[in-house]
Amino acid sequence: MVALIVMGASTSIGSNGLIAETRVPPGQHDAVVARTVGGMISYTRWPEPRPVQRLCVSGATTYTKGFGRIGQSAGRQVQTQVVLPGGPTRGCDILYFGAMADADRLRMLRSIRDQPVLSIAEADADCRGGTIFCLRVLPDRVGFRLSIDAASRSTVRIDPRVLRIALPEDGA
Amino acid sequence: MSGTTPLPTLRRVLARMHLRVTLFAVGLTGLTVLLAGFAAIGAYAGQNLHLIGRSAGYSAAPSIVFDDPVAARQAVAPLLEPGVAGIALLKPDGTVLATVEREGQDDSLARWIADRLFFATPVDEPVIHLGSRIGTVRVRGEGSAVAAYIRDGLLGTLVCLVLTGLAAWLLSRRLRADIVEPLNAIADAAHSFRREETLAPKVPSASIREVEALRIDFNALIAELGDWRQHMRRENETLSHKASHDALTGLPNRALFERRAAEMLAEARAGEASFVLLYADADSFKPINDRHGHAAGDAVLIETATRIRSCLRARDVAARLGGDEFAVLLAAPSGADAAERVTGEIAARMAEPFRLPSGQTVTMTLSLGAAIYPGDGQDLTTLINRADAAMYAAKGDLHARQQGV
Repeated sequence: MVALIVMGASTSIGSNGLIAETRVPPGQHDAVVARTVGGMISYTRWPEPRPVQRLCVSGATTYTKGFGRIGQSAGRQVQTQVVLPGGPTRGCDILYFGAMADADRLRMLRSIRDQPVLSIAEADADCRGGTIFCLRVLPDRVGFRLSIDAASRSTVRIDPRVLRIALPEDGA
Repeated sequence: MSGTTPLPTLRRVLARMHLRVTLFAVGLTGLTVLLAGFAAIGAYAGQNLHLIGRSAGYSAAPSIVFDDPVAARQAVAPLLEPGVAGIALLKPDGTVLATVEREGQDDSLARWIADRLFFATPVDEPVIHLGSRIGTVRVRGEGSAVAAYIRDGLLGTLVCLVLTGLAAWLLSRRLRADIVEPLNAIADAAHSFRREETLAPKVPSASIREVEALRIDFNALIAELGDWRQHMRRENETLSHKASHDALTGLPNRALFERRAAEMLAEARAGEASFVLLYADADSFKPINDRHGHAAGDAVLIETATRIRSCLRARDVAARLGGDEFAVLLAAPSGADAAERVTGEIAARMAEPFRLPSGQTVTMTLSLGAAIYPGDGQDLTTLINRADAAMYAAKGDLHARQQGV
């Protein structure tokens, strides 16, 4: 029903490449993912930022072991908590999706629609699942995509520089 | 200065001075503008690099945060404007995240100078994210714009110099008309006056006050000199006339007579013509002088000269040799006939009585002797002697006749 616009710009990964990617030293995926998510948080503006932001992790995740120190790269205090798939999202500023049933994910996404919540999917290669950011973790690098459609349906504001580097070179 | 070096003309001196002054002015102005432009452009170029660095840092901050070289390159690539040679993004540890370089460099000398002058060291700008430094943007400038300025400036200066030369040339032409030509006219007039080609040359008026004043003074001076020279010439003529003429009768004296006789002899010799030389001597002048006084004697001599002269043609010469001696040259061609005719005419004129200043009248006759070139002699001395002898013969005849009566 909603066409998600997925932006790919990196020539190094081909036409379907990620707009942003981070090289990963072997065995440090957790730290890099934490830093990437922290960067996303740092370039996101909430209408009424809370002094301590709540990062809700839901579903089966692989790279969240470094989230304890995410505050460093996010530039603010971040408190991590686990939310059951399909569970209530109230109080979450950031919603990190691990693997879960589509119905649970859709329910959770519906619940944060028009809410100031930054949604990030850990494993959604095409970024058509309805989250604003989609991580793409490869053996040697961590990248992410941005869904403009999802970003526009949220009340959080993504820094245009991140949007801009998300746009494909041909501007389509 | 050596005498062989030709002096430069006024026009050349003025033109050279004009050229020097204008070249100096243009050169100084051009240099000042060029240096001021250098300074301004250098300052702006530095500011520009800082701005570009700041802008690149802002654009590329997310790519540093996400450690994404490709995105970093894409973020700073649009900032590769003219004047920027390259932008490098450095991570806090000093490693390079991304580098973009400008392509198509020109290798001109002006570019090299501009690079060395203004862009020898790159400009570093910190990249700030969330209040802390996350990296550095290093911008290297390039001097193609400054090089273009240097080239244009030099070209402009060159064009100005050419225009200046042209202007100096036109000015010197103008000067030629205003100053040099009137001065030349004065110089020409002085020259021709000196060579006596003209009596009192007039220099045409000039358009510059000093030159005009000089011209007026010069013309006045020339006029005075001309008058003076004419006066001197008249004086000389008078003096030479006095030296060669008898003061009493106005006839040529012996010296002039001998000169004219020599000339006539040379002419006759060259033209193979003949001429007549007459000697005349008053027969009874001394008694008149004794009896009636010197004034009477003078009057008789003057009248005698007039009477002799009246019997001659314009080219003939009558001279008073001294006392009561006269001589006549009948210009060639003349011969025995002319000698006889003129002798007769003079005798006839002398037969008339002389009226003295006192109112008395006296009579005086002349004894005449003739010698004809070339019959009577080939040179002047012989001719004079012959004429003299003939005259004395005539005088002897007269005495004989008087005694015989």
